[in-house]
Amino acid sequence: MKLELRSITKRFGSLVANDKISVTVEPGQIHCLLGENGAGKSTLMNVLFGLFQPDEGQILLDDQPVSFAGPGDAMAAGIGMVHQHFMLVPVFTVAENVMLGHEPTRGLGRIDLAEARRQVREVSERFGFEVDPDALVGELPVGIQQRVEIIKALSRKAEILVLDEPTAVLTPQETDELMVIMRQLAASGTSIVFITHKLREVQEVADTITVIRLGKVVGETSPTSSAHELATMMVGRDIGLTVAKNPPTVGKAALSVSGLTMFARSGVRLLDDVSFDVHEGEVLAVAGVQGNGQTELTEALLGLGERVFGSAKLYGKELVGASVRTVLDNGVGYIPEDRTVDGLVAEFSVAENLMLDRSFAGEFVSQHTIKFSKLDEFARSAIAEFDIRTPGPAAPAGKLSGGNQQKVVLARELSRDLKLFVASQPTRGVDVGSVEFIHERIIAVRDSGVPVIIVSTELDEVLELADRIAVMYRGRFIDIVPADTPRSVLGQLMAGVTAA
Amino acid sequence: MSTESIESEAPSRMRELLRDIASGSVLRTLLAILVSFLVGSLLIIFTNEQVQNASSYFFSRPTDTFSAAWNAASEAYAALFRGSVINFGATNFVDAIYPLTETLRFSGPLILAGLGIALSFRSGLFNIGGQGQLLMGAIFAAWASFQLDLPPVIHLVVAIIFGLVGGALWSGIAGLLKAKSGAHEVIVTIMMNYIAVSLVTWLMRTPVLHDMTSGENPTTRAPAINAQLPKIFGDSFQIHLGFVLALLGAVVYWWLLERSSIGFRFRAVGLNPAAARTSGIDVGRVYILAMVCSGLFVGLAGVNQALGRTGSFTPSID
Repeated sequence: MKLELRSITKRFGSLVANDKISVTVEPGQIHCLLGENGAGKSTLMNVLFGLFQPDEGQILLDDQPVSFAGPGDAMAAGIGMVHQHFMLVPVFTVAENVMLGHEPTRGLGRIDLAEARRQVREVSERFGFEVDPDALVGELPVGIQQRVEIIKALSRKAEILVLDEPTAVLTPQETDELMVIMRQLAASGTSIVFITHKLREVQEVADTITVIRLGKVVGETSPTSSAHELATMMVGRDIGLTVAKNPPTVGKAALSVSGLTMFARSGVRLLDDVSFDVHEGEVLAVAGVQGNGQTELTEALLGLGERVFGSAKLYGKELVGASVRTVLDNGVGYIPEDRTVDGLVAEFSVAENLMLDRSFAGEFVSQHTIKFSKLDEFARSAIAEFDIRTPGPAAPAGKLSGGNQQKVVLARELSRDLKLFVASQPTRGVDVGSVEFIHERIIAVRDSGVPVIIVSTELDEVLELADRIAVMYRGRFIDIVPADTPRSVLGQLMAGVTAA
Repeated sequence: MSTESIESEAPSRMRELLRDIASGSVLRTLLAILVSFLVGSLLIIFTNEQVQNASSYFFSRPTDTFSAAWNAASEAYAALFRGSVINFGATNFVDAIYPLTETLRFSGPLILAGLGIALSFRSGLFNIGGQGQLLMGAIFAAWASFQLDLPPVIHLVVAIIFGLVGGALWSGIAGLLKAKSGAHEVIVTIMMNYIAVSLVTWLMRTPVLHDMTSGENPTTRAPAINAQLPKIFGDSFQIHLGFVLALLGAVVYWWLLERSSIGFRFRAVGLNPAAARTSGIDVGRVYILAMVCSGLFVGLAGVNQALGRTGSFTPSID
């Protein structure tokens, strides 16, 4: 089926999320929508899926104008969507999940589970998915769960499949497998819309690429464009994709972690006997597929975790069991994984956010009264130094773009005397232009002799910054390897396979 | 729409509501007053006898109904104005402005209790326990006002402090339970209200608060002269120091929330407890402290009720 979006415009108040976007997806094509977070890709797909009504423009299927009042209409018309976060019921089997919402029935409304099983098996065999219809979804690996989502869409006769950031949760190997599946689907006539911000994947799998920036189509291009050209289109200016960095000058061990273990309330080990050292002047990057204990590792180090055992000594001072405030007072700088939840108070001004961890003592407080003039002065210098694009220090932090919000967090954390810097997903949801800046600052911290721990699920980022790479799998450090370890080996480790 | 936004909707909606309540604009306030006047007029009009009579022949002479309605509403509001702001029918100045001073006197406890509840809301706590905290503040102050025998000024100060302690104690329990066990403050403060009402009613039948010679009804004894809030505009008016305390309370509230580092932490926790925690703020401690501060203000409202009188009072002063 041919899909055409014709000059779609969608406004939210004064914000134009989609500005006359036109995209044509030919049958059997893999069409990439490339753009940074917040460029308007997801809005466009929500318009296509009937979740938003466009203010202007038309959707055409095989040259016939259509309008969708909701996802049900879109699905009936043959559009299937695989969301970034899966919409599956973990305690149901694959077959039950696939039939959910359009259960095949026999007389008297009895559910025909056999028919659902048959559908799963058929689709699975046709594309070599290797999915067992009777497996419980909650027990399947993430990559297989994603296939269940795809089967779900295909079993509803989807001829156009939208994949929204499908690789965010996959290991490199699973990503490769997904690429194969996408090509097979396209070959059998399914049109695929592939939404992503990862350049490498686009180059590998796309037939056509539409680049979107700030709600507008910047251009269409072919996958033969270089990564540098694509990045420049995405950001709108020339940018370097790699940080120039000198070899590390590694000093003595600053942080010694041994036997760090953290339990969930249920007794499950979230961190399992993690031991490592971080030296002065080096970046230890923690790689791994999302949800393998990286979040828990940073929380345990920062004093945010509960049921934490073992030891983490920073220059001999024990961090395990200490309060967050003590940890911070010991010179630990921290960029949390999700800045909107843990890093910033959205309603607070930029200036107030800059003093969030300094309300007890320090230069901004005397006699329990905040010295607003001093704070304002500091905020202005931080805004200049970190190139934070904001109307001013009094602007609410929540109104800034992702990259600028992250710079606020970075400015706050780096303006203290640091003995250890921990950054979790430092560039998630950050525009490519700011990524460069943030990476440079992190390397600058390293070069000043501070030990740095970076946690990232983006292998590109890990390889960019790391001096050593620790790979986490199911709460354990499966191995610590040098920075020049090939991707394929890292991918194996991320999937839990050790070389030996 | 991603699943993330759906998942985070439930807790953030509560926060949204809090924020809405805390950040009402001037326009919204004025509109609310206007609407309440209009609704009030309608009630007055529909219950007025003249209007009802005139409306029985509405279709032959509709103007009668309208003029009766206008008269009813305007007379009612004029009476309201005379009774609460300025009595323009009075013959002397004192009588003319007496209603205004009475309004201000009644506003004292309302201002203080409002500040206390607002403080808890800004800190992300739905303190529904104003009633209990006010009652506890009132009886603590009342007890000190007639059970102790102290010189002037000192007696008043001591009684006020007792009241503050009473209010803060009652709200602090809710804060402590929230911080230590996660017990939701809405449930706890509502239950504490019931406990306070029953406790106060019982105490008002015992010698702790009651003058056993004055009958069976639950009442306190009258505060000693030394512990009464002194009148501020002479004996012609009832208005007393409580109103000044309320204004002082508003200033303290402003400093605390807008200028102090403690208030900074209150607001940070109220808006985003996760970020506050990550920045080294002990969220549990803020919950306790914010509830205690909230109770101090509400307790002072109770002091106003207990000591801003010459006679006894009953459990209905909340």
